[in-house]
Amino acid sequence: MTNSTKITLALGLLSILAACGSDGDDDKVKDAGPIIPIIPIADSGVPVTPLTDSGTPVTPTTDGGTPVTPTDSGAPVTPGDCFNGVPVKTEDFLNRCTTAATATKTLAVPAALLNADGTVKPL
Amino acid sequence: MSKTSRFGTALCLSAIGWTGVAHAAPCASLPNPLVVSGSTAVQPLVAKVAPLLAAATGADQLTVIFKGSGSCSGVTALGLDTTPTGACAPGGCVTGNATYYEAGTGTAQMCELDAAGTHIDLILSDVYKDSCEGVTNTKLRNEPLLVIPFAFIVPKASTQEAIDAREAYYVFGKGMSAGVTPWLNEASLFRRNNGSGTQVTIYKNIRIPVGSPIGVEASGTGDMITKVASAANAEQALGFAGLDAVDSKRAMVDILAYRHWGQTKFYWPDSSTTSFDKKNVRDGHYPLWGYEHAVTLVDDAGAPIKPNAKKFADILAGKVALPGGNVLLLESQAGVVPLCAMDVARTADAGDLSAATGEACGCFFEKNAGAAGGATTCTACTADTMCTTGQHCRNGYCEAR
Repeated sequence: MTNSTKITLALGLLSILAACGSDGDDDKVKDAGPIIPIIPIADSGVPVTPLTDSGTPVTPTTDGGTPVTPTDSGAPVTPGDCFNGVPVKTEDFLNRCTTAATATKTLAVPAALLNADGTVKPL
Repeated sequence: MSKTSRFGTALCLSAIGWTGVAHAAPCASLPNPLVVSGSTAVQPLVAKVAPLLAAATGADQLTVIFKGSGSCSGVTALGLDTTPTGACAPGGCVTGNATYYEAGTGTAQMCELDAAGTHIDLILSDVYKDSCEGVTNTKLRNEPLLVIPFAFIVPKASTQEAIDAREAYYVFGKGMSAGVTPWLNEASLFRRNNGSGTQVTIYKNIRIPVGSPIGVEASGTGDMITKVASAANAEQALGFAGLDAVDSKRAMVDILAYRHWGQTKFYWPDSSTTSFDKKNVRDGHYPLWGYEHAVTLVDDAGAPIKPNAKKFADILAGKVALPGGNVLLLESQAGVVPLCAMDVARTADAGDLSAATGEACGCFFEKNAGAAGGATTCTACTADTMCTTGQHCRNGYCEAR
């Protein structure tokens, strides 16, 4: 290849490249850039509704959560247990946890005199 | 001795005033007499306060004349006194001998009430007046003064330590046919009567009629303790009484721990069998207690008819200073509980429990409970600033309220 031929080819290539950088093509290049997906980002954040449901339960005597009012504070009274919250009912006071000495004995009432739930029958 | 000689001797004895029966001095002749009747359960406290009032001077001096009758019997009598400043209405006065306490020594002495009847100034009742059957007088005023705990008691020789409300229900409601061991002998069961505040309190708590006839009747708190202590068969013996009387007789009888309806454990009235702190009474674990009430007659405007009755009631309630003494200290030592030492309250006999309000004195009570005094873990103080935030310095100790 002669030098003149090389020069001709180079000029032709430059001409082609120059044509590619014309006005209309510049706008198309900008639009083709990375698109920020607005909606998907919002959806992938910390869910709002689930947080409410997974927080501190508000009915502790049934779900074991932290008590929120005096009426439902502390552990429920069960046989052999003691009440550890703020007493409200008579049974709460009677069964409140304490360090005082307690006595033990087996109930001496004949079984025939008691109902199935341990309560007494009319005299 | 011939008939003539016997006649002559009788004549001579008559001439010198000897009739064979020693007559007590008239109660009316004592300085500023105040006739108090009703509960025998609270008499030990009266015996501590009355000598100080007898020893006081001027307007403070009172001679407390005590005629025990049982709480409701007393309330009934006062209710029948429809002529409190006139002649006695039927059933509205007391007669016979009564007890007063000498100034200084506190020795109990007898005096003689007017044969025609003496008006009662004040009734001390272990129960609300509304718990007494048949009382209709609307001029009776009822004021809680202090708390008196009650207990089931057994002889020292008994091996029993505790009683459940259901056991007591059947023992005193049905008797030996219930088969509640070891209380199978009705001759060894001791009760009072339906005029007794002690019985009303106990029976309301164990939910049987206050007039249940099971058991042998004791005439008063002292007689009850004596009967239980000396019962022929110790293991089968059972009774009940006020703790202010029982605490000083612990060498004779044992106090049973008690389990109330819906309660999971048995509790003694005190934090142990040897203490006098009434811890379980005060915090609500032990419900066999009632208020000691002053029951007085009032006029149409609601003012007390007998000013000295109000004065005595106010002294016992700690509203007025006791001349020569500290009523809070005397009550702490006597086995009763001042209202300010209670952490629970109720509005009816055997009624529901609720949290107490008002200025507290539980620390002072614990420190001084019992004849020999007690102990407290409370911080001693002379001002609120020595207590933690929210506490108050009361009677020398930091209290929560």
